[in-house]
Amino acid sequence: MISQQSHFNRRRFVELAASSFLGVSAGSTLGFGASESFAEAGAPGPAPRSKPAKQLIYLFMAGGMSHLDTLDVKPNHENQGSTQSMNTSVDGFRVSTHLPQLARHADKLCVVNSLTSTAGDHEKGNYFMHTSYDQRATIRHPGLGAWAQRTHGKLNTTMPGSVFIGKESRFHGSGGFFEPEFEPLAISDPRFGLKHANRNVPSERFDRRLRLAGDLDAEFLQRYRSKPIRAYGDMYEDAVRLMESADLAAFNIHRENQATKDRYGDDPFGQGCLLARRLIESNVRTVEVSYTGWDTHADNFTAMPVLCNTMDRAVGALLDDLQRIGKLDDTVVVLTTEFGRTPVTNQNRGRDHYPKAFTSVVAGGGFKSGYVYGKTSPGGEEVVENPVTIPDFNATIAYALGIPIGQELISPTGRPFTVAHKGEPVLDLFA
Amino acid sequence: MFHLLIKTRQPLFRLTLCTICLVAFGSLSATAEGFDRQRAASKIDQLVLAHLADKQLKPNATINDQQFVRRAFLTIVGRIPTTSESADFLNSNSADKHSDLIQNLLSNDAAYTAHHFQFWADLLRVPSGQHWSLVYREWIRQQIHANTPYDEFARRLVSGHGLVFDDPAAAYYIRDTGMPLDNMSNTARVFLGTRLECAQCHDHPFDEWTQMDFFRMAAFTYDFDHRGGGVNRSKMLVALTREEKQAYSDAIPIQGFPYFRSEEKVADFLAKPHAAKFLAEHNLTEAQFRQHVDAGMAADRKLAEFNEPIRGNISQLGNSITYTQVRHLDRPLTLPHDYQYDDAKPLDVVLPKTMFGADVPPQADQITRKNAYAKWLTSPDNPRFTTVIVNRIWKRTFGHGIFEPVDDLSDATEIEMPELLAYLEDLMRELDYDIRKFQSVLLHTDLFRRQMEGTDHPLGTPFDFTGPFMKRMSAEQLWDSIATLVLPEIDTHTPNRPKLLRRIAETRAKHHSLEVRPMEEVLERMKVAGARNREFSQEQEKYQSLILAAYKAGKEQEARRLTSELKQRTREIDQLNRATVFVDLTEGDAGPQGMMMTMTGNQPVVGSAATLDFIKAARVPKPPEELDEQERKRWLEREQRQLKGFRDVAREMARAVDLPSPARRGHFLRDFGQSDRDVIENASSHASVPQSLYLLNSPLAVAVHNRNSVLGSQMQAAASPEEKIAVVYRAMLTREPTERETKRILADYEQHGDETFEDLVWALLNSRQFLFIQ
Repeated sequence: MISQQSHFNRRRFVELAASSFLGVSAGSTLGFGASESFAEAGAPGPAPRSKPAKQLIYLFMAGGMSHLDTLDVKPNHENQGSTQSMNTSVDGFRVSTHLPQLARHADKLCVVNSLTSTAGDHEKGNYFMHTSYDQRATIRHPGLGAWAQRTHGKLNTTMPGSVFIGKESRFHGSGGFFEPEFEPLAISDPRFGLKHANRNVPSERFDRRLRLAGDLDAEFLQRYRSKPIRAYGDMYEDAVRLMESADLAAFNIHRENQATKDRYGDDPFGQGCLLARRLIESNVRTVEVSYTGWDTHADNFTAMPVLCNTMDRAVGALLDDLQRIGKLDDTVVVLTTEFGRTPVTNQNRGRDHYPKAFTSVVAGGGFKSGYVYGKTSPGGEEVVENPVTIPDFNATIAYALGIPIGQELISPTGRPFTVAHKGEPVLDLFA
Repeated sequence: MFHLLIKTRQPLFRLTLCTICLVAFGSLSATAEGFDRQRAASKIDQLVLAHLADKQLKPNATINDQQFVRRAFLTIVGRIPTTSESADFLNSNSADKHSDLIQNLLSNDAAYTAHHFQFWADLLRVPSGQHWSLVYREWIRQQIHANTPYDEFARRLVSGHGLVFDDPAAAYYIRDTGMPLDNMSNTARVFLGTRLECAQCHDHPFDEWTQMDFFRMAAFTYDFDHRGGGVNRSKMLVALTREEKQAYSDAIPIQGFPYFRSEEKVADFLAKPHAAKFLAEHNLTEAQFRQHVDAGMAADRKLAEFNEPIRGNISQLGNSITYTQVRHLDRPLTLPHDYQYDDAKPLDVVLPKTMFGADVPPQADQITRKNAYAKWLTSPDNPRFTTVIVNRIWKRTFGHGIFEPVDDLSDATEIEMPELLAYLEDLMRELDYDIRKFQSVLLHTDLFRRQMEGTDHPLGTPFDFTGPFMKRMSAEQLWDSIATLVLPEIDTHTPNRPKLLRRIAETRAKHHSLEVRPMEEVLERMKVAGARNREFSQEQEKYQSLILAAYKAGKEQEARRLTSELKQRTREIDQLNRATVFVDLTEGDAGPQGMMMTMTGNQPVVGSAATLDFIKAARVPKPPEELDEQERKRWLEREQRQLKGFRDVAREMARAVDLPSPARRGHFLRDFGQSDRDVIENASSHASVPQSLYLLNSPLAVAVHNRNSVLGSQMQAAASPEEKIAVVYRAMLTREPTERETKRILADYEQHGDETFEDLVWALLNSRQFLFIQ
C-alpha cells in the first residue's frame, strides 16, 4: 500500500532548491495562517475528547435523499409507496431493500433519523448542511474539512489537507473565509485523478527545463523578494515534491484491481469512494464525495433503485475497506444530504423537498455502532423523538474530530464564527 | 427599452501605430472642456512627493519604455502587448508617445471593456449562466463600452426595477434574492466603503452604527421581491380554480349554495347560526345538505385532478422565466423579534432614514423611495460616495489603496495622504465621474512610471508610494495575456457571444409567450400541454411497473435500460410542451432573431473572423526533406500531438470576459484565483499547487510554442537561434534578452537543438517575471 512518508528524492531536492527557481524557503507554505485570530479561552461547549478521530469522509447525497425510501422506512404506512423494507444486522432496525450492503453493515452505523431543518431549497439547504450557517451574500463560511485542517494541521504535508470529489462547479463547505491553503483540492472525475500531475516531457528534459527557468528568473528574484513572490517558489517546490512523491499514486484509482473497482461500482460515485479510501490511506484529513441526482420530483420509485444501489454498493465497500485497513476507528464517515423528501407523493409519482424531518448516518470515529437515534411520526412527517438540528449534527461531527465547538474565529469582516454556529454535540451518539 | 440604454460614443479602434498617430480623441483629449490633464497629474505627483519628503523617502527610479508599454497594456486593457503593438510604441519617435499610448488604450473600447468588466463583475458578484445574469452582464459591458459616468451607473443599479429585459439593472436586486438586508449591506460596502453587516444583529462594536441605523437604511429597499413575476401565471391559476368552483356549483341544483373545499369547513358552517336558516330556506335536512356538498366536492376534485397536469405545466414552464423581474410588495420592515435596545420595541415598524449626509424624507411610493435613496447614495454631496471610487481606481492603477481596506471606512481609518485624497475627489467631481478620464490623469503621473515597490508590505500598515505596489497578474490578466500569445486579434475574438445573445433573446421570447400574450390564449396552450401529460401518465405507470418488476427479477440491466427509456420519453413530452407554449420562440419579431437585433445595438455580434480562420488554418506542415523514414514518422507523430494540443486549447480560448464566469472548476481561471462571484471582491492571487501543476504539465505551454500559434509562427519565421530567443523574449516579457540570458539558452541549444526554444517558452511561462507585473 501507499507509504505515508514522502519519497522525495533528497539529493534532487537539494539540487533543485539550490536553483533560485524553487525559492528561498524550503519549508511548506501550508500550516497555520492567522492563528492569532483564534479567540482565546472561555470557549463554551463540552471538553474535547481525549482521543478524537483523525480523518473524515463526508458523503453528500446532493438533491435531497428521501428518508422514507432509505433508512427511515415506514412499512405498512400509505406514505411508503412501492418501496419495500428488509431486516438488517441490527435487531428491529429495517432499511429499504435497495440497501442490502448497509443492511449488512448496520452494526457499524449510527443512524440519525431525526434531523430537522427549515432550509428547503437546494442551494440554501446544501450550504446550511455544510456550514451550519444560513447562506449570506456577505460572507462564505468554511466547511468541516477546513476547520479540521485549521485545528490539527495536515497529517501528510505532501498531500492537500482536504479533497472534494464531485462534478459540481461550485460546492459549499469549502475553505470559506480562511486562507487559500484551506481550500479543498477539487477533483471532478475520480477516473482521471489529479489533473496535470504528470510530466508531459521525459523526466530528464523536465529537470532541464526547471534549471533553465531557475537560471532565467535569477535576476528578477534578486531584485524582488516580497512574500507573494517567495510563495510562488514554495508552491513550485510543493508541486514538484508532490509529482515526485509516492503519495501521488493515491490519486490514481487504476492502481486497484478490477475486482476492487467493481466492488465500489463502475460509476462516478463508486469510483469517488474508492479514491476517497486511497486518499484517506495516504493521510489526507478530509475527503468529501458528492453524488447528485437525488432530486426525485418525478418518478421517485423508479429512480430510487439505481440511486440507492449505487450509493449502497460504494458505501458498503468503503466500510469494508476502512475496517480491513484499520482506519475505521480513526475516521468519521458521514452520509448526509440537504433535506429529505415529502412523505406524501405528488402528481408525478415523485417526492418534493422536505427539510422538516430526514435522515443521515455517521459511522466509525468513536460513534456508537448499530445505533438508531431519534424517531419520526408513523408517516415520516415530523420528528417525534430527539430532534437534531443541522448545527447540532455538525457540532457532533466536529466533536468527534476534536474541533473545539466553542472556539471562535474572526472573519475578515471582523465577526466571530464557530465550527457549528450554535450547535451542541449529541453526546449520546458516542460509544 | 434595452437598446435605448446603449450610448455609443466612439467607433471601435484597432490598436496600431496609425491610430496612435492619426486619431485625435475628442472626449479624452487633454484640453477638452478646458481641463488640463497634465496639470492634474503633476499636482498628484507634487502631493505624493511632498509626502515622501515628509517621510524622508526617495521615489523609485523611472522605468524604461519596455516596462512602460507592458505595464500600460496590463493596467488599462488587461493583457500584455503583442510584439507588433510594443514595437509600434518602442519605435515611435514622437515626444508624446507615452501619452498617446495611454489615450489609445483607454479608447480601445473592446480591449478596455474586456478588462474593466472584471472590476465590476467582482464588485457586483455577477455570475454567468442564469437568465437575469446574462442580461445583466451584457448591460454592464455596454455601460463600460459607452463609458457611462460612474455616478449614473451606480444610480441606475440601485434604482434598478421591473423586468430585466426592459431595465437590466433590476438584476442588482435579483442578485440578492430573498436577502434584502444583505443587499443593503452590500450596497453600503460597494458604494460607500462602509461595513454594516455587524449592525444587522447588534450595534456595530467598533463603529458608530447602530442596529437601528441598519434597519432604517434597509427600509428604503427592503420590500422587493422577484418570485413568480408572472401576472398571467396567477391569472391562469385563478381561472382554473374558478372552473373547478363552477363544476362544484353545477353539481348542486341549488342557487347560492355555499362553497367548501374540505370536510372540516362543513362542520364549521353547520355550527353557525345562519346555517339553520339556510337549511330551512331550501328545505334541506343536514344529511341532504351534506349529500349536496359531497356531490359538489367530488365534481370539484375530479376537475382539479384533471387540471393537475395543467397546473404542473404552468409552474414548470413558468419557472423558465423566474428571476427576471423585480417588484415591490406592500410590506413594511419591522425590527427583529429580539431587538434589544431602548429606542424601539421588537417588531416595531421601521421608517427609512439615511445613515449620514442629507436626509431623504420617507415616501409612500416604493419606486419613488428607491429612486430617492439611489440619488442620495450617488450624490456628489454624499461624503463617502466619491472617496470610495477614487480610492478604488487609485488602487487599480497603483496596486494599493491610499487607505485600506478600500471598503471599510470608519472613524478609525487612518488616511496618510488626506490632501491627495481630497484632491482626487475634487478631480472626480470635476470630471463628472468619467472613469476613463480619471484613469487617464493617474496614468499620466510620474508615479505610474516608477519602478514597482516589490518588498514585503505588512497588511494594515500605510504604503508610501515610492512606486506602485507590485502584484501578480489577476487570473484574467494572466489568461488574457497567454491568449495574446496564442491567437491574433484576441480583443475582438468573441466566439461565445452569439450563443449568449441567443439565450437572452430566447428567455425574452419565453417571457413574451407566457406574459405578453393574452392570458386566455396562454391558458389554452397550457391545456393542450396538460392533455399531453395526462395521456403520458398511463405510459409512465406502465414503465414503472415494468422497471420494478425487472429489479425484482434481478434484471438490473433491463431495469436501467427501461429507466433511461422512460427518461427519454419524459424529455420528449417536455420538448413538445415547450413547443406548444413558447410560441414566440419561433414566431415573428418576438422570436429570438428579432429580439437579438433589438438588443445588440451598434455592437458587432460576431467577433473577428480572422481569429476563427487562424484556428482553422492550423495544420501539420511537410516534414523536412533530410529526415529518413523512421525520423519522418516520429517527426509527424510529434507534430500531430502538438497540433492536437494547440487546437484543444485554442478552440476554448477567448478573453475571460467572453467565457463563463466563474469558469468551471479546474479551468485555468479558477485555479489562478478568479472570483467565484459569491462574495464581493474575492478574487485571489495566492499561490497554490494546482496552479503550478497547470503551468508545469498542461498542454497550455504546448499551445503557446506550437508552430501554429501567434508566437510559434514568429519563432518559425526567425532565422537564427539568437533571433528566435529574442522573438520569445519580446512576445512574452516585452523586452530583449540580456547577453547572459542568451548565452545561457544557447548553451542548452548547443546540446539539445531546436527543442530548446520550446523549453524556453515553457520556462518563461513558469517564471515569476511573467506572473508579476513590473
